Amino acid sequence: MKNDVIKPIAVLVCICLVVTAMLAYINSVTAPIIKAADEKAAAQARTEVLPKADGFKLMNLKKLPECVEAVYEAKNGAGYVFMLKVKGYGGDMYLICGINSDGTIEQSKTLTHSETSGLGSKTAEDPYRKQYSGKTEKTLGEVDAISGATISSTAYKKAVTDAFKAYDMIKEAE
Amino acid sequence: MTNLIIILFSAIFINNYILSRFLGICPFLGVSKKLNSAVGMSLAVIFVMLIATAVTWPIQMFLLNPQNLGYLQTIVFILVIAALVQLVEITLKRYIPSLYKSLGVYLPLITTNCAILGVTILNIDEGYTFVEAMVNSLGSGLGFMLAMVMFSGVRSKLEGADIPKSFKGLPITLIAASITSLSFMGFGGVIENLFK
Amino acid sequence: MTKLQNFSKGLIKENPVLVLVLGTCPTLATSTNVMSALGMGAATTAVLLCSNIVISALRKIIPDKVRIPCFIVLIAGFVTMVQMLVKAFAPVLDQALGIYLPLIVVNCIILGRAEMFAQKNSVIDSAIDGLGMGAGFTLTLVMMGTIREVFGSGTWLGFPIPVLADNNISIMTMAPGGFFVFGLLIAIVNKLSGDKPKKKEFGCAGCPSAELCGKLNKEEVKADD
Repeated sequence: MKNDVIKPIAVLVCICLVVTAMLAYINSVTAPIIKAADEKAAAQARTEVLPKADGFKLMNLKKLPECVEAVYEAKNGAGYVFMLKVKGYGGDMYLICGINSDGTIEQSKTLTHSETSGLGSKTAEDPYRKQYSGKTEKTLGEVDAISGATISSTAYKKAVTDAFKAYDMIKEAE
Repeated sequence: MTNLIIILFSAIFINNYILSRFLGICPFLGVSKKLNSAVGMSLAVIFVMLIATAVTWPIQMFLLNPQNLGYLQTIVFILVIAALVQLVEITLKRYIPSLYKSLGVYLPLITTNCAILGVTILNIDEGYTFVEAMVNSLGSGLGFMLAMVMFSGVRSKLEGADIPKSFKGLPITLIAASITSLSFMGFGGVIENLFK
Repeated sequence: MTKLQNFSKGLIKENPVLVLVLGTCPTLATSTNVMSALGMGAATTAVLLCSNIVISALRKIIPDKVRIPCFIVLIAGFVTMVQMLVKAFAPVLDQALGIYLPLIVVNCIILGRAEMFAQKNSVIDSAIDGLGMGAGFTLTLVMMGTIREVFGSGTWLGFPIPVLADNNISIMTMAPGGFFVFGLLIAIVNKLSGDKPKKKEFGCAGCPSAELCGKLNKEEVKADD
């Protein structure tokens, strides 16, 4: 009778331990690869939004505007790349925006989002994001929102506005 | 506050678990034949979704994340949910037999329901706070109920309808689900503009 | 039953999706295009193969009382492994599958095969069964993915198709299109199998909770009387 109680518990515990140990091992193998892949993807995205730059340097800035997570400076002075995070409709949206040294947007792009598919998800697509290219802080208002996805569009614009705020801060500091 | 209302309503109408996220299709097709079983099943789902979120959110935030054990999420969540369902069943049976009578039969079916595991993982993925996560779970459960109850009506009509033989049963139910999901897409812009 | 029959039953006769109607959630959700359909199929097949082998190997050790929790732990372990490997080596796929990757844990096909086949058969037979079922699942997913991508986006595996690319019906890639194509496919299967009235309209047989489900339906009948 006693065996009936102990054996199932012992087997279950053993299985749990073995599985967890294997997971820990695989995690230790894959975690660095995942990290490297993420970094590579981020570097690729930076080159994409500011192709004129020959390399990037992380800027050490204090008191960034709300949506700006990090700023990278182009080594050849072509401009700046802003890593942005903003609350969209379905959760956090991660964006990246490259601003030229003359204060116009080169490219902006969504990295990850969880907006409603078919509506807010359109902010990640070319017709919407290409509208930003060439805009300055003053002409940002000309960007048309996506009908039915006002919150996602507003969030996108807010993040880019904050990127300009950070850009102004950098220019003032110079 | 507006934020919470938007989360609630978009979970019910726009990101409806059954009609737009495709989670919990099995009970949707299996248990939506009769109105009372559809309601019973949905109530049990709402109940378990809320409890599961209340337990898994703190586990992730205070136990797994600080220890860098985020990768154990799937395995921990499914075990916690399975244990929780058992626990709820025993507790209800012992202390609130009347509630157990109406919900009890549905509880064991829920353990392997992807809607429950889905809502707990999504709450973490979307970076919700505890309150937001609970509201999202409630909305998701209510959305599940809405689709289930609507469908029990549709299906009882379909039983008597004269449809091609090959479409009888599951196929026509799926086609009907397709049309309903199409109409739900119409809610898309409405909610976010209502509470702007 | 020969080994070949054991493998091929998953493709047609006992196709997990179209005949047994298991794993409907990932089928509908990840068949928006061929790429993610293939990815989901491959990931599920990998988990199914591993879990079938291990569960079959451990079938004499695992006590009957705790078999379901044991199966769930093993399956969840394999799913997490697949999840980490996909994240590391195919990040694009990870993005495309999103939440549905961890949700393979609750895919009824896997627990269903463990319960129905692996715990009663030898390791080799279980492995073949897992491969066959996985292939059937992948095949159906790719079929749905093809229909939805060709008509919805006008492309196949990303390659544009003339004429259709300019006249795409984008609703096909959205939720309603998923239900619609799935309904049509099941209707076609019904037609091909000679309109035989199926014993069960909803394939509960492979579901781990079939027993309870049956109890449920019986109780309903009683309530009606």
